[in-house]
Order: sequence, then C-alpha cells, then structure tokens
Amino acid sequence: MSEKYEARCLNCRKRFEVEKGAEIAVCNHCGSKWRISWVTPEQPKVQGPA
Amino acid sequence: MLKRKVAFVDLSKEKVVVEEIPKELRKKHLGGRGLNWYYIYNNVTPEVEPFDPENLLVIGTGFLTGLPCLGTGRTQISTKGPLTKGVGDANMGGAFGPELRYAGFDHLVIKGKAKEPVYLFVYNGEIEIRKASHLWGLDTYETQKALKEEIGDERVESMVIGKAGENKVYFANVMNNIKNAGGRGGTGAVMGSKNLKAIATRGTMDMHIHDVDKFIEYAMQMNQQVLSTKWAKTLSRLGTPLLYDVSYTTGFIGTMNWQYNTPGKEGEPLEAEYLQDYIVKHTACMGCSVHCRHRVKIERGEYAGLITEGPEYTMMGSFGTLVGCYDWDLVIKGNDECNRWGVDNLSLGAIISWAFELYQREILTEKDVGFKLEWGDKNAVLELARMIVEREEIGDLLANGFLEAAKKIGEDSLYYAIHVKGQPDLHTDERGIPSFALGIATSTRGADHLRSRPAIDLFQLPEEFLEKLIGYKIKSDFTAYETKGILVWWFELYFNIVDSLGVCKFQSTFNCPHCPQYDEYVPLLKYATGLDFTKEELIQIGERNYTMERLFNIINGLGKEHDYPPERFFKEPNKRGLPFMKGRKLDRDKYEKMLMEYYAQHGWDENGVPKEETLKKLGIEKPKPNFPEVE
Amino acid sequence: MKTFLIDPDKCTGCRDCEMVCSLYHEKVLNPARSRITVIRDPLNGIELPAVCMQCEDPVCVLVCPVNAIYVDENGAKVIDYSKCMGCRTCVITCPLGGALIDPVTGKTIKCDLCGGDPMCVKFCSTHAIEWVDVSVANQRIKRATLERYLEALRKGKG
Repeated sequence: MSEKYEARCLNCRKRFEVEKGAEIAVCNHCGSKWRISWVTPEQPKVQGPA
Repeated sequence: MLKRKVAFVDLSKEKVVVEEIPKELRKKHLGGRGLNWYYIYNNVTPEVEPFDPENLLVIGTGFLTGLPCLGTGRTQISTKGPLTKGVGDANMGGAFGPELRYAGFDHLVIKGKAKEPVYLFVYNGEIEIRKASHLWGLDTYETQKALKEEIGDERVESMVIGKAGENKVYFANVMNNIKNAGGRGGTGAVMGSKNLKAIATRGTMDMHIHDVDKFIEYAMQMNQQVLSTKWAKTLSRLGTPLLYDVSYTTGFIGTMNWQYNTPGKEGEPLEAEYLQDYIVKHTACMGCSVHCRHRVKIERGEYAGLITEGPEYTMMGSFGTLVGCYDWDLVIKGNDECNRWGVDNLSLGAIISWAFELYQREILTEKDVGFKLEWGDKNAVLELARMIVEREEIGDLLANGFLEAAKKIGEDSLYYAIHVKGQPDLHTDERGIPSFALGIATSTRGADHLRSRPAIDLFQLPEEFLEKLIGYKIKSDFTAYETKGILVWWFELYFNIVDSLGVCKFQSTFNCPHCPQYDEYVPLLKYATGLDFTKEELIQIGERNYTMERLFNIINGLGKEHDYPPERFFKEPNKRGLPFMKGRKLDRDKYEKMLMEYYAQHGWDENGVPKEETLKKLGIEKPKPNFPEVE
Repeated sequence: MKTFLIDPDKCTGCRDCEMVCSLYHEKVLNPARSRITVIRDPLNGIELPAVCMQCEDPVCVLVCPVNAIYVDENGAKVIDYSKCMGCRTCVITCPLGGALIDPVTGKTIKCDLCGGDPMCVKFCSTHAIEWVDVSVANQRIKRATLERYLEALRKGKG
C-alpha cells in the first residue's frame, strides 16, 4: 500500500487524502478535482483546479 | 529590555532630547505600535496637516524587537497620514529595528522640518543630524549603499525614502534593504515632507535579557512550535505567493479592478509553484527562522539579468490580476521598481487599476493619459506607475490618492475606487467574506488586511476550537455575519499586541491557529523583560492601544460613516469562482448588525465613539502634549 | 571527531546564530559580541556565515606570545583569560577571521564550541551551519562536489 498524505480542499475546506507524489487528486468528501503541488515530500497542497 | 531610551528630535531646531521610557508606559502600551500612538495621540492636534512640520513621524521598535525568535526584526512607523488624514501607520521587517535597539534607542519621535535634506545617524547612544543633499534623488538601494560607504561600516542599517517619498506621493514607503517596506499610510511622504532622506543606524550596545537561560530555552521552543506547522513549511518554500493559489482558485482576488473576483484559468501562470523557477535563495528578516522571502533572478526575456528580492502576494494583484497581467516577469520587475522608488505597491496597484477601469468606461481618455490603458498591457502599467512616482502629468493627480484625484476626475469615479477612508484596498476581494469586509472597513489605517484579518475564518475550524481560541462562541461558517464582529474585534486587539511586541504576523495566529499567541507571549515577556503580564492584561493593552488609534481617527473626522467597505461590494455580486463564492455580495442590513456587534464588543457607542466608561476603564485621558520643549 | 559544516547557500541572514552566541557567552543580546559572524550584504546578495573552524594545527595557538589558547576535551581552541593580554596577534594572523575583538570589553574572543554543543547550530533553522562527525561531513562534501560536477557535465552536453 502506498503512503497517504493530506491536503485541505478549497471547495469543502476539509482535509482529504492524497497519494504520495500525486499531481492530481480528488477530494473524497466533495469530489472536487485538484492539481497538487508538494511543499515537502510529506506535505501536499492544492495548487489549482484540475 | 527595560530602561530603554526614546529620542525626541526636532529637525527645525536641530535639537535632540533623550529620555528613558518609563516602566509605567510599558505596562500600559508595551512598545512599537502601542507606544508610537501614545506619542502621536498626545502631541498631534487635529489642525495639524500631515505635511506640516508639527506633524510627528514616530519610529518605534517592538518591546521584543531583536530577539532570536518569532521574527522579531520589526519596526513600526507612525504618523498622521496624507491618504486618510488620520492614522498613518506601517510595520516594517528587515534589520533596521534591531540595529536601532543595539544603537541604544527604542523610539524616535521626530518633528519639524529640516531646512535642507538631512539624514539622522544614530550610533551607540548618540544622534547626529547630517546633510543629505548629495543623497536626494538617489533610489532606495543607492541611498543605502552610499550611507554604508560614507559611514564606513557595512553593518549600517538604514530606513530611507526614494523618489516617491521625496515627491510626497501620498502612498510612499520607507524602506530598509531591498524589500523591507514600511508600506502603508504614506509614512514615506511625511518623511519626505520633513526633508528627512534617511535614518542610518549602527550599534554595538548590549541589550539585557532578564533571565538568559530560561529565555534561550523558550526562544528555541517558540521557533520549534512555529516551524512544526504546515503553514510555516509552506511559507518557507513558497513565501506569501502561496496565498494566490487559494484566492484565485476560490475566487476572492480582485481582477481587472474588482470587476471580477478571479481571472480563472487565465491566471494559472501566476501560481506560486511557477515562481520556483526564479528563486536563487531564501532570505529572512533578523530573528526569523521561517524565511518567507526569496531572492530571485530573471534569466530570460526583456528583464533578463535582474536579481532582486520578493515579490510578495500583494504584488501579484497590483501588477497582476488587478490589471489583467499574468506574467511573473512583470510582477518581479514591477516589484523591484516599486522598491527602488519606495512606494506602496498595494496602493499603487489599486490606483493604476482604477485608472484602467476609468479608461475602459471612457471617464479617462487617451488624451488625459497620453497613451492607451488597455487590460494586460504591461508597458502601460509600468509607465503609469513611473509617472505617478515622478508626478508627471496625470501621474501628479493620481499620486494624491483616490479622494484628491476624484475631485478633478469627477466624484462618480469614486464608485470604482476600492478604498476605505481614502486608503486603497489590497487586491483581495472581500465581498464574499463578511469578516474580511468588516476588517478592512474598521481598520484604523483604512482598508487593510494586517490590522485584523481573521484569515483562519476560511478554514471553517470546529466551533469548540474557535471558542477556546477566541473566548467567545464564533460561527464556523465564513459566509456568516453573526459573531464575526467579535472575531474581528479579537484580531484587532491581538494584531495590536503583535505589532507592539515587534513579532512577525506570519508567526502569529494570523494564518495558522497553532502558532504562538497570548499564552506564549506571557512567559516570553517574563523571561525577556522581567515584567509580569497576564493574558487578560495583554488583551486590555490591545484594547487601550486600539481605542487610542480610534480616538485619533475620530478627532480627525473619521467616524462611523467611514466604517464601510466599498459600495461596489454591496451592489455587484461575484461573477466567478467556486460555486459557493459565485453570486455572493455583501448584505447591507446584515453588515450593519455586524458593525453594531463589533462596536458593542469594543465598548463603543452606536456611532463607533468610545464610551466614557470604556475610556475610564482603559485609563485613557484627554491628549496632553509631552514633546519636550527645546531651545 | 566533529567539524563545522557551513553551507552559505542555506544561510538566510537571520542572524539568530549571532544573537544566541552573544546571549550564551556574554549573557546579553549583542551581535557585535558574537563569536560567529554572518558577513551580510543583502543589497548585493551576500550571506556568508564565518566562524573559527577549530583548525588541527591552529596558527592562533602557535603565535600566541603568552600561550593563552589551549585545546579542551571537545577539540575547541579556547582562550584562557587569566593569560590573554589582548595583543590581537591571533586576530591578525587567523586566515579565517576566527578570532575577533569584543567591542564592549576590548577582549579577544573566539568560538569555544559552547562546551561541545554549539548554540548557533541549535538555532539555525535551515541547517546552514552544522556540527557533525567528520566522516559525515566528508560524505556530504563529496556528494555536493560530485553533484556540481555532474551538473556541469550535463550542461556541457546540453
């Protein structure tokens, strides 16, 4: 199993899981699709809409 | 940290009087912003105009400025400002404040006007007024380099004005190093009006810490607390441009002069990640472990070879979304020019984008300006900026801010001017976020985000958590109006304490609820100064300091009618953004209730005037002039 | 055996190191009395931390006319103030600028490694200055050098 990390969704403002190194992720709460950037190898953040 | 000095400098009489800052004033106001406004409140009477020699320019280091923790490299510059004719106030990072303290002074209270350009040289307890005619006309970088050379010490730190301050552009900055700006309220213009080009300082004097061992341990703990937050990690890498990703995606970034609330897809090139290509190195203010700033280099294109520092998020609006340009090169180049000129890029950007919209609506024409102002034309942006700073043609009018310029252009044009109390707003679009809107409206220095913005409101934190933090029940929903008057009140007091201590807001509860706040400031103050404060006492100092600023505004004609966000935010709904942001605008009735809740929380009456009982409780008396008489 | 490892590219110019050094040694805040100095010129883009590297064959020890500098159990070259007469010979001869003059007391000062756990290292949030085992330092230096070499090669091909 690959490691999971969290980012804050800009639509529902909840934290959602992002797979390590992912460039695109979908919020499991509201379904918003985001482009992801990585602040550190352990800390993803939403960069913009996908 | 006690027994520190304040210098009263009279530039007209060329005299300096030095006094010790009494402990009693520390207990009432701390230092920095709080103490600055104690001096101005008592000594600047309403008939004094901002550019009169009788106006004061007060430089104040925070009570904790110059410590190896919490980014305490900060300095407050305060005056009666030309834009609002009320509180003109700016907080600057960098290394000037700490150096001033090592030179033996915490506050400089400056009045009068020098006969010819001068600079102050502050060195180890002495203050000298020196000729500066040879520096007049130099940009802010050149001035500082010349001062270092002339004084013969590369550790000299200076606070200087550039072209904008010399030309008394109403929103001129004071600057330290490349990008540290005392950047709001026109403090640079007042400095220019006094013929004061610079304050250079260098010190090798000791600053005493009450309990050294405990302090070292606690300072390290504070730094760890900040660095462990996700906020600090993001800030360390991306700097404030990180905010752009949130605001343009969500839809609260003024675009084409607030006609839109985001550029949408078109704004993608300005995402923070793309700034990484320009970064040479991360740099920091003195005493900061976060290092939110970048040294950048433009490698290719028109501005190839430019090495500078910054830009901050604000510039991404000013020379970005507000004028319909989405190009890092322009943001970086424009930022460097603004820093050389010593001009507030927030105000400048809002005024330029206003002119662009007036041109779009044919209120201004090519004949008025001399060229076309078409959205996205970066040369037009740079040229208009230059004309404002140089006060050339229409620039001369725009350099006096919205209120003065509209007298000539037409009062109707003010609808498109996004300002409060005459101070241009930063590029945020607050119409979808009631707490942000109230914050820019009640801010004592006019539209501004650094006086109260409860940025954490956007996180929709659990209400139990908010109650623990704020001490009141606060609604988690950031689109709500109810309880947000209390939230803004809390942040107004808190930011006042942050500014009075000299702590960096980016290491406070501003954007991150896990950063140190009152509970941590109590022991820090104890170990550093030996003074005991309780959390409640600190909150009361915040209330006292804030109320004095409010009173200063009121006696200068800024009351309730000036506590409203721009009319446009009530009338035009958001056209873009995420579904919950689209269509939102401010509701007048709900806003009014929120304002009343806010006044009541402060102990002010329904017109926003502090009640007698409030003043009594806070121990605020009528102004009593106390600038020492000099022969 | 340990050594300082300094990476100027990581130094932000915050000078926490200087402040805490003066606090630890002189019990006051005063960067001018710090044993470590950041040569700092932001207007020209320079941040360069400089401190005594605790040389193996230190010239300060050699030139001191009163033999005031001794080596302690951590390998620090420490000034014995009962002997030091403040002649500045070490200040002038040190090729690294490791010995300095305290502007308040006039005494010669230099890094003593804070008894083996340098405060400047503890306060450096970017790890621009580290106090590490020599073998670790060697590996890191080698790696950085090779990376630069490979980058130059790639650029040459590109």
